[in-house]
Amino acid sequence: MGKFPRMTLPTQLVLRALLNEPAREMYGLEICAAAGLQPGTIHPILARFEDIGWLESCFEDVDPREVGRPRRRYYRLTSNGVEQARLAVAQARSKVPQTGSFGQPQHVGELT
Amino acid sequence: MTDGNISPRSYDIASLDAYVEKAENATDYAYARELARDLTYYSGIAANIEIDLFRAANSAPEALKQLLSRSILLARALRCTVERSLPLELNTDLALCLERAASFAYFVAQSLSLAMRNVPPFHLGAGRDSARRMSRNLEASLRLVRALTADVDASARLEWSPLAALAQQLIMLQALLLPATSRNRYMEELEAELYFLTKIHAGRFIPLIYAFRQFGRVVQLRFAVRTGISPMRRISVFLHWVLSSNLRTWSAIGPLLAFSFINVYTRQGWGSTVVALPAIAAFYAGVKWIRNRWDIETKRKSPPE
Repeated sequence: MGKFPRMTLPTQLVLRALLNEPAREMYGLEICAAAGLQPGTIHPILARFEDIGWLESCFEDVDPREVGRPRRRYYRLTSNGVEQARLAVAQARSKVPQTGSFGQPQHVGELT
Repeated sequence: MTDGNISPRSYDIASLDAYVEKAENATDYAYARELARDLTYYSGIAANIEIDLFRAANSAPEALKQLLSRSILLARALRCTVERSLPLELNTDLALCLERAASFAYFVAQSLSLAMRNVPPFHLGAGRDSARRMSRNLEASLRLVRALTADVDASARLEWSPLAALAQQLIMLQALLLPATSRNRYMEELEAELYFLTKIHAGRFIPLIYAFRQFGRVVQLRFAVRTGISPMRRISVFLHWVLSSNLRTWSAIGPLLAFSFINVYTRQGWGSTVVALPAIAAFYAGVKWIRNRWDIETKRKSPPE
């Protein structure tokens, strides 16, 4: 078993949001909305997950000069990350409400 | 069965193409809606191919089974993405989302189509035709979405408001506080999110609030990027390390206590120093209590046999 990060409430919420659709790539604001967390909270968590190999990320494949905007960075759980994350969430002692009841999950377009 | 649920309209790519070319106002998200509707039909194809491929996978060789399983997952992902994208009324975002979904599915459909050439038809049945159709239609839709995305982006370049410009400066400052190896990455990533927020909340404080919130977490992000461990976790690990050894614990506390006693003696004399002696017992009890609470065991040398 790999090393587990400390499973704080935001960490668990982020993991649950990612585990909802493990194959899907999501960018930061999407993860914020899905986890019901404020911006700024998730990037340190995502960085830690990347560090331990649970998460991989890449910039979208567009030329910023052509599209006239910065590229988004998309995150996705690795295959090992999916297993480890499920295990970690299951082992987490604190009881977290299902994603969405903590903070109403929003659609990206409805972010405030 | 693959054609059963598909409206003929979904194959009318040429007319949709012409519609987009004639359109004057590229920012009108009617195009995106039109396209989304069209791609929904493709998601119908994806749903059908999913069923066909599932049947085919039961009799195909192992290698093909893996490819088919993968394509089933991808078809499902395409359908989910398209369904999720429909309520969005942000044309650029929708178009980008659909482009990603379409290109993803197109790649798989193409690979699948190639793989099916060498497989006896009775193994695959309708799945082969579905894959070809999906590949062909997605190729056309992908071309359309790319054209749409380029038009929309070119015509809707963001003009930074003073508030957004301030938020951008804050993001840049935050990036400067991060380790050099991660600076460019986070600057671009956070700017992209700020761009998105600025676009949908132009002239409001939301982008600035976003930037302040990001800035407020710069220390955590810096530690997470540098070590993968949060500052609190780092402190906790250090304290556990100190408390797990009597030598380390009392080496840290001892000089502090000694200095306190000397200070009391020089200021108030021997009498007060004697009165302060129970502090040693209090520190000892405190260390013991913390060790019990944090479940720390001190290392002891095993007695010689």
